[in-house]
Amino acid sequence: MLEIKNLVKKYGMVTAVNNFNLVVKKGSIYGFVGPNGAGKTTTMKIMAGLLPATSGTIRIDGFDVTEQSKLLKQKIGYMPDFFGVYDDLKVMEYMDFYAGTYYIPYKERPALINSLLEIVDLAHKKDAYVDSLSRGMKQRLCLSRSLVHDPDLLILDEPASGLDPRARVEMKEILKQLQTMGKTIIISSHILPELAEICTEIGIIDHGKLAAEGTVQEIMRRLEKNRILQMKPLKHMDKLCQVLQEQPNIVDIMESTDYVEFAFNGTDEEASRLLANIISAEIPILSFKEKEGNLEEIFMRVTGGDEK
Amino acid sequence: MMMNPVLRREMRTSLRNWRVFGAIMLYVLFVAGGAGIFLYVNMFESYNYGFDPRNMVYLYAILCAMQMGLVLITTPALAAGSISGERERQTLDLLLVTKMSQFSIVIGKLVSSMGLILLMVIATLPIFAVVFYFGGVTLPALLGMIGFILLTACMAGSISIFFSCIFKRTVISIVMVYLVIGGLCFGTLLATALYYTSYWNLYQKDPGLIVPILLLVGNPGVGFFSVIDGQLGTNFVETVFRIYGTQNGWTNWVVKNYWVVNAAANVAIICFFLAMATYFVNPIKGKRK
Ligand SMILES: Nc1ncnc2c1ncn2[C@@H]1O[C@H](COP(=O)(O)OP(=O)(O)OP(=O)(O)O)[C@@H](O)[C@H]1O
Ligand SMILES: [Mg+2]
Repeated sequence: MLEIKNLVKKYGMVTAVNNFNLVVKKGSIYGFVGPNGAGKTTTMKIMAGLLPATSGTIRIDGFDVTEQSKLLKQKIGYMPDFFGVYDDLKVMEYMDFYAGTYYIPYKERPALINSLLEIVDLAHKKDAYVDSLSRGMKQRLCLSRSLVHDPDLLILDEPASGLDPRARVEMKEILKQLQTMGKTIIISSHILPELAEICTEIGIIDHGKLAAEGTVQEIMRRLEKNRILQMKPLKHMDKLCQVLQEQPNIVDIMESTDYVEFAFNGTDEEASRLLANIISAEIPILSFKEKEGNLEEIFMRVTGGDEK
Repeated sequence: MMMNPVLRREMRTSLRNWRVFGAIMLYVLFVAGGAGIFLYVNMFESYNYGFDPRNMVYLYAILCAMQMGLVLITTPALAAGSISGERERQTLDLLLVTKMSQFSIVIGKLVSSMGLILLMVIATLPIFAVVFYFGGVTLPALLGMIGFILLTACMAGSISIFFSCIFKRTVISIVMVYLVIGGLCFGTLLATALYYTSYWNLYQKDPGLIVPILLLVGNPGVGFFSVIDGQLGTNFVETVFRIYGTQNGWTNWVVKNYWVVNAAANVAIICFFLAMATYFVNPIKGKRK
């Protein structure tokens, strides 16, 4: 479906994308994860034909993006990370305008637009002014806009950013539905767990390079190898640390006033066994959880795992 | 046959926008005010010298000149934000990924701003009824004049859209368009005058017609007066050119029909800037091979 080879993008001195290689198979949902400035948006813009690459090739179904722009515009649906709307248009007219930009005949438009609005659950807002929609609704509207020409490949740049948890769930449902419709989807985010739920494959991008890649299970297994766990005892902090030191798979114990953090490189089963051991040592435990890492940490762990 | 989607959307929203309506009203008020002042002064004089209907052709000239001036002022305000405005509103990328070609986008923008200009000009037509009432100007002449004004507006519009493509901020592109139009209207006049004086200082003889003909070729004012000359039998343009030397052969024809040359130059300017705009609105222009 999509094949990126040796893609390089330089903004003057800054190298935003540095020798990027990627293959996305038809029907998959591919997640781009990476910290701010990793080059996700840049890569996606180049794919959508909105930025020239410094070098390298992007092929979609075997066609070079830069040479077959007409054909590619048909194949790609793009949703940018930031976008605006025309304030004097109603939802129906907004969709009609974009249907027009893809030269869809007038008489086919109402049915098409209705079915698209149905998918993103905005059918009831047909006659509202676009400007009056909430952020989440605008995001969904923009997604349905990118579907008007029935593209095979959707490039969605952080479609869930700025949405509340409920809206995120809705967005995920919509994406799953699109996948069942046979679309290939590339989606970016800087929150890994969010992508993990819907993606079939994940690529971790940092400094314009694909740092790690694989199915969700593969990535998760690697993450498991080296995670930070947090344990909060009711009392007996000293005893807890002592017991922890005797346990397998534990490195780097850090003691704080009311909790302990440690790096753990065992599996989930080993983690639960660890907890059982501590409880049987008669230390009262209030909480035991994985420390919510930001992407930087997750990323460090993933690449750290690579080196071993 | 499908209507240009950008044009369709712009028409829809601008007819909904009260500011557009306000601008048209303001425009009509300006022209009507000009006509009013002229008539008032004329009535006043008619007490002393008697009313002369032949003066009404001057009203025609004044009304047309006002239209020309207003159109040159209004067009940049309408068109210079057409692309940069989309960029500022973050809708440009969404437009560029669609199947619309860059050229269709540019043309859609140009035609929609020209549509508004046309609407303004049509709204002032009732004022011209006064002129027709007294006779002296024919309807075809008026239509020809409007055609020339619209062509000039188109020229200003395509320059506006070009700047709108290359500058990120609308404000800057508006300023740039006014500078260029100001240069075309007054800068070229100044340049011809300077040419004349410096030539005289150097050679102590008339410089000839070719350089001023070329320098003024894109000047909307000179073109306008040439149209007026053709319609009312006046000799404004010829008088100016005579300063530079005697006309003979082809220069004679050019000076007498300067508006034709001017219109051709406008067409050339339009084509050039539209092509440039189409090139610059393309995000992946520096296509590598
Ligand atoms: N127009 C530009 N001019 C110069 N540098 C740019 C430009 N756009 C992006 N960059 C640089 O390119 C790099 C990659 O940016 P990009 O927007 O692709 O990151 P991202 O992964 O999308 O980040 P985010 O998570 O913040 O959206 C950054 O270092 C950024 O500073
Ligand atoms: Mg981004």
